Amino acid sequence: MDDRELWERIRRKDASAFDALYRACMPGLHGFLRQLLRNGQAAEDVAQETFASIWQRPNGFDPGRGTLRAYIFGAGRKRAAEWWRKQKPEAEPVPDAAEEGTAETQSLIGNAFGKLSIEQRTVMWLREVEGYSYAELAEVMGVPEGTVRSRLFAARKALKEIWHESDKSRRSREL
Amino acid sequence: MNCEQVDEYISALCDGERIPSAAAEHMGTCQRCQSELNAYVTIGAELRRFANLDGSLPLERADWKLESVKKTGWWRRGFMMMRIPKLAFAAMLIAIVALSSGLVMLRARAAAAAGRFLELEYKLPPSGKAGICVMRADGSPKDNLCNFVNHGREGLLLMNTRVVATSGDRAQLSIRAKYIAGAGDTEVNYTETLFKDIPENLLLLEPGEKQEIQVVGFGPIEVEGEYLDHIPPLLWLPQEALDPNPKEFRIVAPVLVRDNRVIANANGSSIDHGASDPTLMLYVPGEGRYLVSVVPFEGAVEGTVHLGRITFSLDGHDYLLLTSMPITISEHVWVKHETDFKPSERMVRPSDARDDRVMYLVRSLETLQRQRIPH
Repeated sequence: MDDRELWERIRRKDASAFDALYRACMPGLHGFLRQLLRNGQAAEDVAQETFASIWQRPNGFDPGRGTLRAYIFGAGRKRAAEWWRKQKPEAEPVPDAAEEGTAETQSLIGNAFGKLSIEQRTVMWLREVEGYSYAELAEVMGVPEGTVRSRLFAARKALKEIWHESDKSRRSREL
Repeated sequence: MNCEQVDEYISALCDGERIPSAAAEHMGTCQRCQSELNAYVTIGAELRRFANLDGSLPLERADWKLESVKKTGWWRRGFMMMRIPKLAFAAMLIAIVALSSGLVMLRARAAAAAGRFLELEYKLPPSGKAGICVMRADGSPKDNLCNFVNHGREGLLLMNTRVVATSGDRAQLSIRAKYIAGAGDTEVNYTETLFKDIPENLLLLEPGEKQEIQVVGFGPIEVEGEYLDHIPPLLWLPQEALDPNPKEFRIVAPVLVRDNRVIANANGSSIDHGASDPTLMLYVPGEGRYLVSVVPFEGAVEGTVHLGRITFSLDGHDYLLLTSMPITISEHVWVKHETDFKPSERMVRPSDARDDRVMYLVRSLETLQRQRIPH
């Protein structure tokens, strides 16, 4: 079933069609929001709200402009930005207990990735983990494809530098 | 190009984007840029590994019911969400209304000056076969001209068209055309001097209007033009959509990377529109040829296609074939490396039979496996 057909069924309030979409996109969206919000519970809430809002008012997607997946991630990203706005200024992104994880789940790359700006985390995660094309990224982020290219470059460069720095500090601590 | 200028293209190459030949050439020889490419590829792999370890959310059974949503008017919602003083909002509204007429005029002027693309169709005698050329029509020096070549059985037709000026929808074109009898197989290298001595035909063309130019030794060529309402993905193939149709196999400006090192980088395109076994033959000097087919064949290994990227492993090496447009709707291809292949021994057309440069063609597998391969 293509995006247009799936969306038509969702607009007609076909719960099984929406459930299929939810199952296909929810894990990816949740993983993505965890990286943006650095808070597992908040990520789950925002992802659920995103889907609930689309189910209640399925009227924002235009199949001619991009894929349904990009639309959902774009909606999730906007809700995440709203979540950040609602946080009190003193509420720094303190990872919750589940987010801190154990030695096995923590990694240098994860720590380094967390130090990027939200925009950089967004573009890197969607490209490298979710495999988004430049066109899809442009749609999710609302910028031209040329800007996507330069943001990806800046994000990669920044991540490389942070990662190498933290690797160096780890090595010197071990010595 | 130097490392600083190439930096951004290294990142784009990781994503399978088209990069300029000069950048690819620099990367092929620069240790620092190759290590940068390596670092980006490693970062991507590490990030995906981290994502896999990060743990996913167990999906609970969601119950999507038809709920009655209490509808709130848009004006009331907006009023409730307003975070600025109401008076300031009202003043802003008045200012917007007062300025809007001026803004509309400015937008109209900007739209008139924006870049437009002119598609020209040349009808060639005696068959009426059409050749297509697309160029910018806004006076910008970039892409403001189009070179068209037709290899006929009896000769070679060269055409160079340039937009000299536009007035409204009317475009003044400069066309230089030359026919060389008996040179149908001659290879053409476009240089600034190629058309220097050819006399110029000046035409005033309006959309939908037919004009004619005379080419000595060839006959009259009918020229017709239309403005496009979009920018085609490839200027030299304006009819191509971004996504391949089910029967297409397209290779556009391929770059072959082996173990993160560029071993071939070519311009142009080769497209098959309907063979059941479309296959790419990519010849690399000193390496032989790579056959990449959508059908399995003897001695070939399986590779994976994702949009404009093909990945495969051969003889302990990891390969990445990048092209600037999605290649095929197939998800898999089969690849074989024939190290002893030489164009001079197998290619029929003299301009193809050179062993000292990268060459590629898309044809049916059966054609490419013949002892003598036509162009």
